[in-house]
Amino acid sequence: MKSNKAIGIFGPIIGTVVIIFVLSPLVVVTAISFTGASFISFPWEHGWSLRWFTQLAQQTDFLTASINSVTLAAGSALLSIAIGVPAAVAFARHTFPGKSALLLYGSSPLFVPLLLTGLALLIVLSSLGQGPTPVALLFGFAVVNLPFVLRIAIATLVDFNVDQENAANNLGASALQAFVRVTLPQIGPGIVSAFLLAFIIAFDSVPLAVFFVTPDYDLLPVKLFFYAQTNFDPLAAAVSVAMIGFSIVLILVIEVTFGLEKVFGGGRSSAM
Amino acid sequence: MPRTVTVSAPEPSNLATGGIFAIRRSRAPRLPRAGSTTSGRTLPYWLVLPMVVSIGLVFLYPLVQMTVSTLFVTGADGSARFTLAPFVDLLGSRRGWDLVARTLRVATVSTLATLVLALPITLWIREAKPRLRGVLIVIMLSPMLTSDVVRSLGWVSILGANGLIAGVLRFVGIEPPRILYTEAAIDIGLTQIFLGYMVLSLLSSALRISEDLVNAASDLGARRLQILGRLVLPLCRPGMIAGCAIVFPLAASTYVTASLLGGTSNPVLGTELYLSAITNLDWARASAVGIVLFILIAVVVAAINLLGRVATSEVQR
Repeated sequence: MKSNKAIGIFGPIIGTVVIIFVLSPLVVVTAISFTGASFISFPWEHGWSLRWFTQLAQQTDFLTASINSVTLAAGSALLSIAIGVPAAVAFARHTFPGKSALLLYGSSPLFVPLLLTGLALLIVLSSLGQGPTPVALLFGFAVVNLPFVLRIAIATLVDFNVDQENAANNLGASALQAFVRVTLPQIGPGIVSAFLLAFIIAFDSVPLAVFFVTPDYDLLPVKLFFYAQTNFDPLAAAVSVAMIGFSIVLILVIEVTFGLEKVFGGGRSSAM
Repeated sequence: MPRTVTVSAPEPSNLATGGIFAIRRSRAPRLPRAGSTTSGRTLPYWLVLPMVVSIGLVFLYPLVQMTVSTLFVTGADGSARFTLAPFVDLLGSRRGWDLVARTLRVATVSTLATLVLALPITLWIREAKPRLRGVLIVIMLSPMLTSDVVRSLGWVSILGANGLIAGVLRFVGIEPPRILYTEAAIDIGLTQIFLGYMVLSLLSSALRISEDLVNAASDLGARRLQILGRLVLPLCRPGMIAGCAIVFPLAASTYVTASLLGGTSNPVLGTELYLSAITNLDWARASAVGIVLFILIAVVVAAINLLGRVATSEVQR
């Protein structure tokens, strides 16, 4: 759409300022991670160095927390997919009484602050005699990310032309064969993106996880949060950069396989 | 048993292309569509069952339980007594109102700031060529997939006493004012963190504005400001309303950002919830804080949606 009648040249000018605003925290914290000094400073003041990254590689506490975060996020994302995709099939392909109510129900975790959800879960668990456990957090994340998985899966399935399955049936395939050999390869990228989105959200999330960390079980963003509250040093910046790098990799995969914008529910030409 | 191959009758919408087959529709047997079987009526319910159960068990039940146990206290004799004590304690105190006021302030300021900042970039994206558009969208949305902690620490790096701004000011000989650990720092952080959501909402409205409309306005002699003010912005209103309804709850629930950028001297409801729950082990108070936050958000979002409906009916008039 080539024109400039609505905002014209002011678009790029103000827009660039906005982009700088949006990216600056990430850029600045990355710069700090390369400082050679032992306190918060910039590499151009005290020299460039990779010392904070080498130190990070030796911090077993941060490394363990990272592994915990990755496994927890992956497990909860898988669970989200397992719960959400069947529901999405129902919503995308069938009409039935109560459908819109159930759709609202499926989005309900979005309406409550994550902190409150986490607190409620903690209280219930302890009233049952259980403390906060990683398994409970896994279920917590799986449920809290369901609305995102649902939205992507429904959009993917709706886009998929079911007549292809009908054609496969007509040509002799069973329902299962049709699903596996025709439908799955085409909805694959969408499902993978749903998984990755659920993964990233769970990996990055603090307000839910913060109720579930114990001396024995730590999670990376929570650990970084508490660490930086008391002493924000270049090590915290290095951890931040590692997390940013990890996110960038996942973002690129999502963008290439599905499209970042569609993953958030927008489409360049789709109605939201 | 071999499956008989039959041409599947076309849907009514294919009447135009169905040709002779469309006429045969009433006589041709209907093949079951893939995915729907003779148990088709109950199948959808089985498919949504895991979702219903998991959300109910992990999300709804704990919230209900928490609310009930906050409102009803079991006395020593085992009887349940309705009480609003935690709420009275919270809202009756100076601190309580300070929390509510600050939460409202930061959420409102940051929501409005995201709106103001998202508009120019959205309109740029709308007018950009497809490839630039894609790049801009990725740039604007990518930060949303980084952690709040990381982004907030980024702002600490910029606004702190040893940060970028302070360094630059000292370099030119000005004593840097305190920005970190003020409410303004929270506003800035929240604005950057939630800008992406507002851009997404605005985009869905802005992209629907047909270029023909803009051209027509321009051909009729409207200047840019007029096109913006009387055509483009009113048409973006649904996106603005939706964006505010998304960003405000998120900003009001802030915990990490308020902690890192505001510190202990700028508590909000989110920080108070965690403080009560984990540091003070006062779950009744924490629950009360959480419920107050939820009600606050619900009221404001309802007001935003009401404003949206009023504004839309004005446009239609």
